[in-house]
Amino acid sequence: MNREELSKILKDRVLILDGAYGTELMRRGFKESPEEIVLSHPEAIKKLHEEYVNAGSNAILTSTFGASPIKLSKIGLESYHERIVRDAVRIAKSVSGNVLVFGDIGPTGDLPYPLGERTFDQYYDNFQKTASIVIKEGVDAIILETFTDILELKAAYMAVRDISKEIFLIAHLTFEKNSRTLTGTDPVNFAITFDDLDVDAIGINCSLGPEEMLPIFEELSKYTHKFLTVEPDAGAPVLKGEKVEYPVTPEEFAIHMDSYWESGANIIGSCCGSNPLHTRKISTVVGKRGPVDKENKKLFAISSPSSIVNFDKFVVIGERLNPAGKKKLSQAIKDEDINYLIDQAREQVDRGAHGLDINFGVEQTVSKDFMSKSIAAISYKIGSPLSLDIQTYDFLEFVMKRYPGRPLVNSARAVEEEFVKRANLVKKYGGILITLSMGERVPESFEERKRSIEYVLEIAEMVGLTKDRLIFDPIVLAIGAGSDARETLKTINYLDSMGLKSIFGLSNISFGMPDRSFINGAFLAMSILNGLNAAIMNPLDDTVMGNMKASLLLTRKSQIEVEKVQGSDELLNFVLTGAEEKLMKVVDDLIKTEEPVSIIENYLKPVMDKVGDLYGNGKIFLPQLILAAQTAQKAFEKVQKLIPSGGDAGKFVIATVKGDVHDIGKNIVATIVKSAGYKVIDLGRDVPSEKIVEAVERENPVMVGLSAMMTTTAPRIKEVVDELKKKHLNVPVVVGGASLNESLARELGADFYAKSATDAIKYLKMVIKI
Amino acid sequence: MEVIEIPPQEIEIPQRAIAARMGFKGIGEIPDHFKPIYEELISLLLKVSKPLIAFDDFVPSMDNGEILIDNVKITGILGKSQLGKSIEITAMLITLGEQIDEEIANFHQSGDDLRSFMLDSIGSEFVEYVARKFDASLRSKKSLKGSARIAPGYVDLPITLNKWFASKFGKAISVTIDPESFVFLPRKTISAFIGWSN
Repeated sequence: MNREELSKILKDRVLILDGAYGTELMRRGFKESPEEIVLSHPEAIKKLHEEYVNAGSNAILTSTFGASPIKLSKIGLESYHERIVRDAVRIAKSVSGNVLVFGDIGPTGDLPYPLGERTFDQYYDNFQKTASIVIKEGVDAIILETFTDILELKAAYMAVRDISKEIFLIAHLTFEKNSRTLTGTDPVNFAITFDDLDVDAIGINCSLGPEEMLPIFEELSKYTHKFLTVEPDAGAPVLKGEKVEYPVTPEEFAIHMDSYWESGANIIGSCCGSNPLHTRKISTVVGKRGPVDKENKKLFAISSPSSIVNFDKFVVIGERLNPAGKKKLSQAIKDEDINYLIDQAREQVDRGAHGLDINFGVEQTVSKDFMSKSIAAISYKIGSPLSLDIQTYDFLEFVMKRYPGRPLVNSARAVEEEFVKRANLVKKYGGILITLSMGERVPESFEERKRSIEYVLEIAEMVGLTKDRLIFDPIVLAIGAGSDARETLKTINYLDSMGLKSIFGLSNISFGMPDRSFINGAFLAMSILNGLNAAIMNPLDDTVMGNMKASLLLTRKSQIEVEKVQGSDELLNFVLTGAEEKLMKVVDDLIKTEEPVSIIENYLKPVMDKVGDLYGNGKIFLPQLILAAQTAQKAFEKVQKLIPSGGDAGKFVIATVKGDVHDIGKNIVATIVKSAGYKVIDLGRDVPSEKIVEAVERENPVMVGLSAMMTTTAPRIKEVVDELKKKHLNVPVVVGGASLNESLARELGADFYAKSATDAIKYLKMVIKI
Repeated sequence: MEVIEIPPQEIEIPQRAIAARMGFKGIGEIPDHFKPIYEELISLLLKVSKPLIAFDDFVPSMDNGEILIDNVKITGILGKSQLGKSIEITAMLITLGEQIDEEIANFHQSGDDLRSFMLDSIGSEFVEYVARKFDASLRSKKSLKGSARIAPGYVDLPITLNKWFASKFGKAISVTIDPESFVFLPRKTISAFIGWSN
């Protein structure tokens, strides 16, 4: 069966994969590895295959997981490699019944340089030897499973794909409970990196039970556009006497299968500790289902093994790994001194670079191996994604093939042959291509740049490289040489208006000029204002970095750094943990020395502001927000009673509109608003519009909050707003609820849309200031 | 139409699912600080919920490319993609009963919105897992291939279909519907279709 035929089946139904071999054979009394058992007791392997098929497996795995030359050499069976692989496939294929046979390839167990000694090429040769036999023996697909490092998995993928473009190929990583692989890759990184590659399915297996693996699988499924496969363990192994047992029973295992299916799993099996009884249960629950269609997110991001840099926020790419004008770096490259490069890389990252551009100068004088080793060392040791500034095509291909993640590729001009060659590399090995908005000659005007951009978009479409794999360089030229910087700014603005991402090399602008930092900083600020997404720049230059931060703040593109949740702030810790008694004791002490108004303004409100920020930035969860609000509310009430006028910050009327009986969201908002010192008039749920209007007339609030969970009840908001206007009750209205969004809220006449509970506070403060 | 009752003790929910429903996303479990409240509320839920399921099988017909059961049209892309090839459709209405609504409201009235919110979240997930258990038992009995279980209000399956569910099954399990919003009462009530094809 070829990949097209198998893909067609997966579009129609979920397939059930078999379960464990190693642990199950061990449970049955075998002490050797499955690869040895292939030689010594092939009938035991065949029997287990048959039991899995009888239990409902649509596909079985060959007993070749550890049958690669490197792995076999560790148990002295290297010379049997060919025979073990060939026999294992033949045993699986001899099983009667309409079942698919997947050639199973596992990792070597050795980490790549610099974490271990293995090189990409050793991995590649090793996997190619096994893959060539399983393909020759006629398997229906190949599954690369239990890999713990993304570079080793990429090497295995390349090894298989270079042999056959027709084989259906599945690539798996294994994650720890912290949602990372052994070498630090998270599921989103895995999804975006392998989405670029020519695999058919990606997935997760081993190490975790079905419950622990599910959130990781769900995360993976959100970001991949490939078919999805999953094989959880039957829990974590427990040592009972001399025996290892896996605690998750088939029944417990099956509970989770719905969730995997709902997350889009196309092939579901089980891993260590499972047996045919698990397979039977899985098959009963999901074996007759079609796949679930899912919508997937796309990230414009680059990655290293352990980090992702998303271009939704402004990205700083450090420029200093470039030997031009740097004697020490030139010498380090000449001496192949990787440690010097690592120090230079670390310094830039410590000073704020998100990614690093790497350029080796005169490439003909540098060995490909050194390039590749330097890149691996920086990627793994510093964890920063790289921009590969390599001009020689062969060198670039060599490095891209061996890059452990999704790189930026710097760069291609809008010249057909050059662009197509580099675009094809990006298509084959993954990454995002920096595309210069210039052809053969250096552009002077915006119009010339625009023509280049339009030309490249046409060629990219022809080559099949989508826009989300391109980032454009608007070309920065030295003003000292008479170029007009405004033409670059116009180009940035144009790219932004077209929804295209932009990046440039900043320092060119001031080449040959005095006071370069000021020029660079000012030009960067102007570029950010015009929509620039990233810059290759010097993160060690405080003037430029300061300008960048200020520009991002002024253009609302920055993220405010959030302090640690469990910091030194005693009051904050008390409210977050619901330590009511401790909080009240602090308040009692404050009452002795401070005015009540001061306690509210200087202690309680700032604490709740911090809580709101923590929630807004995803540092705490909704129940923690509610608990904090409930706790703080009691403190507010105590202090407010001491203020003759009541001391509240203003009144807030809130209701769920007529016809809507959902009130949990509304209740949460009411609690949060109370905890910020406001007096809340809660009218309840299913409230007729006229009652809301009456309450506004009576209470004279600073704002009205309306909640509507259903699309059917959202129009009631407009009814209330119209009625308020009719009665000339000039009070701002904030709305929220699952059925609403910013534009619908505006259409319904609301003044504000609250996406989360803390937004109401934000708008209340705004209204009161006005 | 058939009505069955499932003892709440028979419903197993992974803690991860409830944690995610409450907003503890990506951490896979309820944080230790909240576990005592969670356990207290799970005990309460097992006491006050009475999961009931009313369901029936229908043979669909096609009317101008739209699916018709019991004189009701199931319109939209989701319905067509999941039920379009069906030779039989199971419709089901599932409720936990009204007492859980009262407990959620009581917590709110007493100013304990944390418990009100957490019980609401647990209830929402619990009714979903009642549906799952029933769904799994149907699939193990039927020899046909089952579609995804789809519910009115999701994607483009009209929420107005809930009116039909209430009229067809509501009386048998004491479920009513708000005629304007098509929300069921008691609130921890859900409806769904599963299509069965060869």
